[in-house]
Amino acid sequence: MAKDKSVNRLISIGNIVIPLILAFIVGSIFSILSRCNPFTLYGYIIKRAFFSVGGILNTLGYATPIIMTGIATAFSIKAGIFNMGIEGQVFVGAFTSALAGYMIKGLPVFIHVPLCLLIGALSGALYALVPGLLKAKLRINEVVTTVMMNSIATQVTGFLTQSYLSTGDAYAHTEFILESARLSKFISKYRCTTAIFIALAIWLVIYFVLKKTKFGYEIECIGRQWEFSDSVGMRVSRKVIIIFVLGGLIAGVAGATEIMGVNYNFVSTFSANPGIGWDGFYACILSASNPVGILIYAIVFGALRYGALAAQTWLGVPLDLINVIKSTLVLFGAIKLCTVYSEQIKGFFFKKKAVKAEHQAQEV
Amino acid sequence: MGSILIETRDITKKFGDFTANDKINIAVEEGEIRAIIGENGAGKSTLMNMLYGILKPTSGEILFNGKPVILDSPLDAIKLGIGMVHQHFKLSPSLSIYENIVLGDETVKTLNVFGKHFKGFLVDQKKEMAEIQALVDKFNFNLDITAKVRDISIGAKQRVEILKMLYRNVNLLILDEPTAVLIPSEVEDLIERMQDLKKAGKTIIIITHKLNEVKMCADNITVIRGGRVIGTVRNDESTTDSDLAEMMVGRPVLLRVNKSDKKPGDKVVYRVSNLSAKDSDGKKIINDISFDIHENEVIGIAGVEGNGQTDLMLALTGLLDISEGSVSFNGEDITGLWPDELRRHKIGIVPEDRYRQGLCLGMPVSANLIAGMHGRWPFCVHGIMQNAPIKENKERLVEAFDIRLGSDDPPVGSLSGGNAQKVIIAREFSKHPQLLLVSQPTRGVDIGAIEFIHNEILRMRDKGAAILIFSSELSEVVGLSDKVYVMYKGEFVGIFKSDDVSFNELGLYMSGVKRMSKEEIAANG
Repeated sequence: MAKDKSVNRLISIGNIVIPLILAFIVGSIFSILSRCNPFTLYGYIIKRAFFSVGGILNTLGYATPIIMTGIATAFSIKAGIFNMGIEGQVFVGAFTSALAGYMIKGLPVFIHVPLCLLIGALSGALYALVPGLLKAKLRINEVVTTVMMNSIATQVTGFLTQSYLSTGDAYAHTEFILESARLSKFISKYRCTTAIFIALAIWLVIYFVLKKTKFGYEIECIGRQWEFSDSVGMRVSRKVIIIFVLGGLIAGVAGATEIMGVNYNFVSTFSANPGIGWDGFYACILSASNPVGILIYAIVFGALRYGALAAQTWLGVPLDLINVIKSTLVLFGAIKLCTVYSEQIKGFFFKKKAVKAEHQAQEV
Repeated sequence: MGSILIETRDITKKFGDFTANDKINIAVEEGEIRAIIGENGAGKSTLMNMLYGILKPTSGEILFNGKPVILDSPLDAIKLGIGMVHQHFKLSPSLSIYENIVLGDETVKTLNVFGKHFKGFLVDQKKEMAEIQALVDKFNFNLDITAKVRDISIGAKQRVEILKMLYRNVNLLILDEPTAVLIPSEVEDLIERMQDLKKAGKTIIIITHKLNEVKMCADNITVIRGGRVIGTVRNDESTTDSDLAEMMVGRPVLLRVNKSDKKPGDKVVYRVSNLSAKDSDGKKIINDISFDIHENEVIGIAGVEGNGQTDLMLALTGLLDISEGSVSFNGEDITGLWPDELRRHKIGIVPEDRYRQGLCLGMPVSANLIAGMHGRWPFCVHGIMQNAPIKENKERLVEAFDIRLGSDDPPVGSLSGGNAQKVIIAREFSKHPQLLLVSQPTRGVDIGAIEFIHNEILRMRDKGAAILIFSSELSEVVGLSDKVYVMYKGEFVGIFKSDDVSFNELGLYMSGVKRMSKEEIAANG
């Protein structure tokens, strides 16, 4: 049994390492095509992202919203709900907090900052309530509704910014938020803000909720088997709504902190391509909703975002190359080769274990 | 009796390291009816699937008519003359009986072009119907071959399945648990048909775990346990049911449940009045159901599957909306409460579908044993799960209910049917319920565990609980209950005291041939 466990661990480590290797091989091909030695590129990204105080602060700055969107996604995926609407909820949260940041005037920092965060969080939650209700009450597939609502959120906020809220500048943005609504930075020229503490606090709370609480137990049951959960009395439809709303709440905070700490105004490109909601989703898929894995992948993605910018500036490697690496990473990660071939791997380490389950399946 | 038709020599089937069939040697003579009996998981189905070409043996060989054969698929088996009828029918409901029978093997009109014959694409329905009508008459199958399959009874569907094989000229017919879905009169009919087939020279292998039916029809009985042949005996007076049961289980078992003399009390614990429910199309699926359960009383609900028992159970456990009527528990109205509220009222629920509603397969035994009570002290304090009491609870229940675990706390999905059911029984019975709603308590459970579960149910009854049992196993419903209601098309059509009712009589009500009036049922209820 102990041996079985260690092989299982090996398989899950393989599921992380092999996609990394494959993704970097694919990335290398494109790197060579853009006339850059892949080892120089990777070495440069790692050096820039991790080997200086500024680099670390920038990496963490890019990782901050991804930690939040990742954990928000994990929350619903654990419950078997494919809430793909985090990106849209991020947009709504960012937009409303940007408005609250300049429209509400004359408040001290210690009220204005939490107020803007709260408004961002609540509007994200409200936006997530719609697909939540549709799923719980009318059994409408959440993938369709959330993806469509992403488009609505990005287009409508973009339209409003261009039209009614336009400042008349050449590029569309809202007015800058007041000093009293801004989050402070550790060092002013690097991206990382105090939002990292908010992200880590949210991460800790969700980690605790998932692992230790009654709600976490119910989420796990619902995710594995909702019919069972319903029949032992977990009121699945109500829980589904709560899960959507909590995900939207966190996504709203992620959007708000980006505006309040980094951008100071709402521009429709603040989330960049692919958006921070999607990066969170990727981190969640790659780590199989494991909170620790999400934290690690959020930092890896943060490093890639920052490193890619630096590489574009200094090595002339296009930004898109890094996105190719990231996408192939997610693709190979989703394939989970080591799980597909788990029997062979186990057979390699010790002569085949009893496969009783298969036999029982035959008997039924 | 003639020569040996089919024989296996040291046939072995392994799944990984697990040996499902271990060097099995059986020989079936031409024209014999051979029963193969054994508990769930003994390896009967694996063996039959190898004879029918669905599985390939790991080692050993199959001899048909004395020649070794290799069966790669059921098609090979059918070509040789081996046919199998599965437990779950594979019929198309919207086609007629004869269309189902010829499906995949249609008679095609030949085209005559300048004196040359070509296979055409038009089906010769007249010829097909004539052939099948001849088959039906020959074996007394009593079927209207133009009827649609969706309109015929389960027994008739089974005859269609058998005809499908006969149409393909099989000599050896394998029947996998053929009586599991039949009412008693249909079972008798099936056994008569089997005798007719035998007279016509067909050989039959029947797999089952119902001993009384084996005694009625088989010439020889082979017992399998743990993937090995325990022995083959002639079916005569010297072979008793309890001998066979002992061979199957490996120890003496009690075949009849021993109900205590304790009489039901006067206090009504559970009252269901005029309950109705509708499906999503607005059609009534439960119609005006009323009954009482007293203290120390077991009420059984019998019926052919699919007559509303499932829906009634869902409605009573808060998972299906009730459109009319009321339910009360100890005088308190509990109509339409959520399942968690019902559980708070000391109501234990054993759902029909163990693996979908009763257990969470991927979660460990300890987590399954607290489901439904997971929010309560001592398992949960201020919303935080408490590991020590959860573990302690698991250890106590595993011990008390004799649940066999492979390791310390494995996922429930890795347990056998019997042990998985014991997890549910342990969870629901251990919270001292005053009312138990139990559906299909022993479906797919081995004989040893059935005995255990039956005794637990009767122990709860003697402790004062009111119990409602749904079961498609007639002997179980009648054996455990004080009174039995028969359900037909969403209604109660009869009520019987369980100590003076014959299975045949129940069968007539279950199939809708006879029914009592509403007043008669109310008067006896």
